[in-house]
Amino acid sequence: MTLASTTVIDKVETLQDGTLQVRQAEIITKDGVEIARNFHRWVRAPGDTEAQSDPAPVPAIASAVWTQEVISAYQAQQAQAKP
Amino acid sequence: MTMVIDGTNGVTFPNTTVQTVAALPLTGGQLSGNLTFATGTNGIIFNNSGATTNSTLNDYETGTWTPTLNSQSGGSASLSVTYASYTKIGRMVYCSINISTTSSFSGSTSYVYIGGLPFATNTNGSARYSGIVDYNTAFQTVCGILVFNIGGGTGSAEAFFNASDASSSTTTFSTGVTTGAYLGSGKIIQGSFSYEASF
Repeated sequence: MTLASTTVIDKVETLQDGTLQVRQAEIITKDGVEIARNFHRWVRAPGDTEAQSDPAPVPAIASAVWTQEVISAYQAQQAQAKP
Repeated sequence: MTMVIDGTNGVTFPNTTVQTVAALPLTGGQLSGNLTFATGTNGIIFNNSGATTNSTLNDYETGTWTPTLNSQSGGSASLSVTYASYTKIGRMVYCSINISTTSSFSGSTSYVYIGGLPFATNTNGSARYSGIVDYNTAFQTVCGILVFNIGGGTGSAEAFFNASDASSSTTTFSTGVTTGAYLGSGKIIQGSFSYEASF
């Protein structure tokens, strides 16, 4: 019997304002058959430099989606809405 | 007699409708497998409204997340996360945290919040969500009940603190709160909150 664990980014959701919702899955297999999958999530806002340190494909998606226009629009929205 | 639907030809009903969906995996009248929806917009539609968008349950997920402790003016503290889970049902997200600081809060304590939420909040500017801090050793000397305040239409993933005592100038702990006294290392914050995600 062989138990193995792999971690992958299995979902990246792009919201209308450019925010990325990232889901990382830890997949546990037994003799090559998946027996469990655990999720861990985080959010990256447009312009968030931490996204470049995330596992692939998050940096590539962030670079593609986050144009200066998207970042500026998001920051303007934040400035208005924060308490 | 066994009837087999091959997934291509389907069954033609008297009204000429052709049903090609494969048979459900039923055993003894009970479902013996999982139902998997093809897209994120598919789900279970409850027959309570003609507007199916508002009566479709299309998401369920559980997992963990990584809380951070920050302030809107750039302050932060390092955390040890004992527990941080979420459960998303439809667009409602339920979060639970049990964290403690492993360093003193550095920087301004104005508008302290929990960051790193698993989903961005609803961007509706009028939306407000909340939760309760059931135990904390961080702010106990400056406020009674401490609650989470989420929303404001930012779409960001942050849960601000709100104190019950108006004298501690809600959500702003800079007045009379010194880093060493209230947000030093080893401070515990436990609680839960819920909010609407974007979808």
